[in-house]
Amino acid sequence: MAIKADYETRPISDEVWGRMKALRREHWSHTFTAQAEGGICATGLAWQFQPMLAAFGKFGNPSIGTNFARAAREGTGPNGLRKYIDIATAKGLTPMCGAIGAHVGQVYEGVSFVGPKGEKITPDFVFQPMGCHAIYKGAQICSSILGLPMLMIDIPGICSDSARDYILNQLLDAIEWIEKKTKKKFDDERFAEAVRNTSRARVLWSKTASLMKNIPSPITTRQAMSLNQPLIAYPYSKGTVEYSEALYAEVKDRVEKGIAGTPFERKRLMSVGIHPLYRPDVLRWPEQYGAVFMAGGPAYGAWIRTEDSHTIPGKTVEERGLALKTREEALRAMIFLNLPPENPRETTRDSLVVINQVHDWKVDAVMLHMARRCPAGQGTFGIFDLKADLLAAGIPAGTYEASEADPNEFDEVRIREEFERFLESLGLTKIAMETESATDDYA
Amino acid sequence: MDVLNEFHRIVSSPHQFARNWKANTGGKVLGYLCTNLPEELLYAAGVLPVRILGTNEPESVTGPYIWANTFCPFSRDCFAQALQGKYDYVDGISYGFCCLHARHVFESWKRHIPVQYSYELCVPYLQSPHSKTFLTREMEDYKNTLEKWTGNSISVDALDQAIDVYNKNRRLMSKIYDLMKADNPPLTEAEVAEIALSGMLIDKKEHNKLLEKALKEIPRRRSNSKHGPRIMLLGSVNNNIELIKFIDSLGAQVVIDDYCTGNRYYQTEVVPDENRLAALAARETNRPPCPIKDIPERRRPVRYAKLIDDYRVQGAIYTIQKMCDAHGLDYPFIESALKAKNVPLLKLELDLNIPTEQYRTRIEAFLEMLETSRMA
Repeated sequence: MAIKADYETRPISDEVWGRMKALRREHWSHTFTAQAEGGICATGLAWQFQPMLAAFGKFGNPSIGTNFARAAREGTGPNGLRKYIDIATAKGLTPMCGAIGAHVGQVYEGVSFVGPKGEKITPDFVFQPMGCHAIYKGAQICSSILGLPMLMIDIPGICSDSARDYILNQLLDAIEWIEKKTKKKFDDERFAEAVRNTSRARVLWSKTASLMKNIPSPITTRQAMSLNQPLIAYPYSKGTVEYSEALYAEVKDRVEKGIAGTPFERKRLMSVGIHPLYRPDVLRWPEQYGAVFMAGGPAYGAWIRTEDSHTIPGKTVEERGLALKTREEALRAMIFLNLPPENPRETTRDSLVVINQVHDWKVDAVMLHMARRCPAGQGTFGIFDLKADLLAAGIPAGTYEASEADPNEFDEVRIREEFERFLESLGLTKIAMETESATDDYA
Repeated sequence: MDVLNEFHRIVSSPHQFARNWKANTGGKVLGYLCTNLPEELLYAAGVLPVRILGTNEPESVTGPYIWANTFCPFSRDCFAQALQGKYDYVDGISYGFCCLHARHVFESWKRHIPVQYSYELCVPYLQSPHSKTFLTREMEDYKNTLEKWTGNSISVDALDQAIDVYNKNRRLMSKIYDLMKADNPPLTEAEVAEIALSGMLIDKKEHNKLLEKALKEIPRRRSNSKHGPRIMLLGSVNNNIELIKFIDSLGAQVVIDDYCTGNRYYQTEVVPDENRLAALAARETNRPPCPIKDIPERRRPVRYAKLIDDYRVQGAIYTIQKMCDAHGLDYPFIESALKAKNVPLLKLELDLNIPTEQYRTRIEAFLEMLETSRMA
C-alpha cells in the first residue's frame, strides 16, 4: 500500500539547473576553441590549480578536469568503459585502477581529442598536479602516447609551510615553463581574478554542502554530484561564482521551507569512497527503503579541518584579507584553498574526521565502497580500521565491493544484496511511495 | 666458503643480529619500509635501522587489516611478520613516502602494534632542486624527532661518520656487483641477493667487514656458471631468494637485478655538502628511481640500457607483485625500451604462493627461446 511522503520535494529550479548545464557546455566548448582564440589547451587527470592555466587566456581541457568525471560521462556507459579498459589492459597496463584504464584506453583510441564536429585538437602539454601514484603515472602514459611535454606539480601529503613553499616554487617555475612552451603570456591580473573566483565558488560550494546537515537534507548526494560539475572543471569563471551564489541561495531557501531532496529520510546515509561512476543509480537505491545518501560527496569545495578533526567551510581570499598584489601572493592564495594554514600537518586517514562528519551531518549509517585496484581510495586504504572505528563509535557501517570506473567489477546481484542486507539491518523495509521521488534531470 | 655462509646465515635468521645487537648495546632498533629513508640519520643517532621484509610464505593474519584484493602480497607479508611478533624487538618504525601499499603497512603497524616511535618522512615524488630543498626541511623535522626519541644529539661528526660507513658500504657492494660482469661470474645471483639483503638487516660496519672479507675470497672461487643466457631481474620489490635460485636452476645465468631489495638499494653515494641534511636529500632525489619516483621523464630505461651493456644481458625477467600498480603501469614502456636493446622480457606475477610448475614451463620456454636466438 502506498504511503504518504514524509517531506515535500521539489526539483532544483530550471534557472540553477540550466546554469549548471550551460557552464558545463561553455567549458567543454573551450576545449575546441581555446587555442584558436589565443589561449592554451592542456590535458591531464584530477586537477588542481586551474586558475593558473586560465591566466593564459581562454583555456581548453579535454579531460574535463578529472578522470572520474571523464569515466562517468565520456565512456559511453558501462560498455564503453569496458572497451577502453580492455584496450589499456591489452597494451600491457595491468594491474591498474578502473579510472586510469578508462582514461588511458580513450587516449590510446584517439577519441579524447575529437570535437563535436569531428575537429581534432592537439593539447599543448600534459599538466598533472599530483594525486595518487596511479593518476600521475596515468598522465605520464598519456604524455608518452601523445608525444606531449609534461608538467608535473608535486603536492606533498602533508599540510605545512614547507609543503606550501615547495608547491609555490614549482608553480612559479611552471608559469615560465608554460610561457616558453606555448609562447603565450601569463596575465597576472587575470590570474588574480581567477583565484578570487575560484575561492568564492569553492567556499560557496562548501557552504552549500554544509546545508545538507539540515533535516530534511535540501538535496541528496546524487543531486550534489551533478550540481558540483562546474566546480570540478570551471571554478575560475565569473559564471561559476554567480551560479554558486544562486545555488547556495536556492538550497538555503529549500532549508527554510523544509523542502527535501527525497520524500523520505528514515535513515540519513553517508557514502564513503567514490561510488561506481557508471552506475550513479546506486546512490538512489536506498530511496526504495525510505533512506537517502545525503553526505559524503562534498568534494571540490574548499574546506578546513579543525584541530579537533571537524570539517568546516574554508575561507575566501577576501575573508583571509589577502591582497593578491603580486604573482606570489596570488599563488599562495590558490595554494591555501587546498592546503589551508589552519589544517594540521597530517591530514589523511583519520577516522575521527569521518566520525565527526557523521555527527555534524546527522548521519545514521555509512556505506563504504571498496573500489578494487584503487589503493588510494577512502574505501580501500585502511578500510577495515575505518569500519571498525565507525562501529566502535556506534555508527552502523556497511560495505560493497566494485570499482569506481570498471564495470567488470560490478556484480549487480551481489551488490544489491549487500545494500538490501545493510538497509534491512537498519530496520528499514521497502516502501511503496505515493509521490515520485525527486525528479531532477540527473544527466 | 665461510663468508658466503655468513651472509646466508644472516638472511636465514633475519632477526637474530638485531636482537643480539639490542641486547648487547641497549640501543634502539628502528624498522623501516621502502628505501627512501636517510638511514645515515638513524645511524648517527645510535639507532640500528632494519629493513622490514616478509618471508614469502602464505599468511592468514592480515585479512582483518589490509584488503587483499587491492594491496600487494609483499606489503601484507611484511605486516604479517609484525602481527606474528617477529619484529617484537623493534622500538620504532619509519616510512619514507613511496607507494601506498607500503604506506598501508606503516599506518596499520602504528595502530595495531604500538611502538615507542613512528615517523613518516614526506619524500617528494619529483626529483628537482625544489624537491631537494623541501626534503632537506623535512629531514630537519625528522632529525629533531629522532633526537627527542633517542635522547641523542645528532652531531655533524656523527653524521659524517655515518655517511662514511654507508658510502663505503655502497662502494663495496658495487665491487660485488662488478664481479657479475665476468663471463663466468664467481657468484650466483642468489648468493648476491643474500649478500645484498644481509646488509639491510645488520649494522653496516659489520656488513662492511664481511664484504671486505668476501671481496678477498670470492675472486679465488671457481665459477659454477652454467653458461646459460645472461639474465637481468627487475620489477617490484622481491626478496624471494628461492625464486631466484629456481630461475638459476633452470639454466639461466642471472647476472644483475634492479630490485630495491638488491642492486638499486646500494646505488648513489652521498656527496659531501656543508649542509649534511642537504647532502642526504640530494642522494634521495638523485638515486635511481622505482616507478613511483620515475617522473616526469623516464630514467629507468636509460639505466637498464647501461646495465644491459655492462652485464651483457641477453634476456630479462620482470617480476611484479600481484596488485603492484606502479610497476604494472610502467611495464609496456620498460618492455619497449628493452626491445630497443634486443632484450626479450618475460613477465611473472608474484604472490605468496608461487605456481612453480607453471613458472618452470614459462621460464624454460623463455630460456630456450633465448638459446635459439643466441645460436642463430
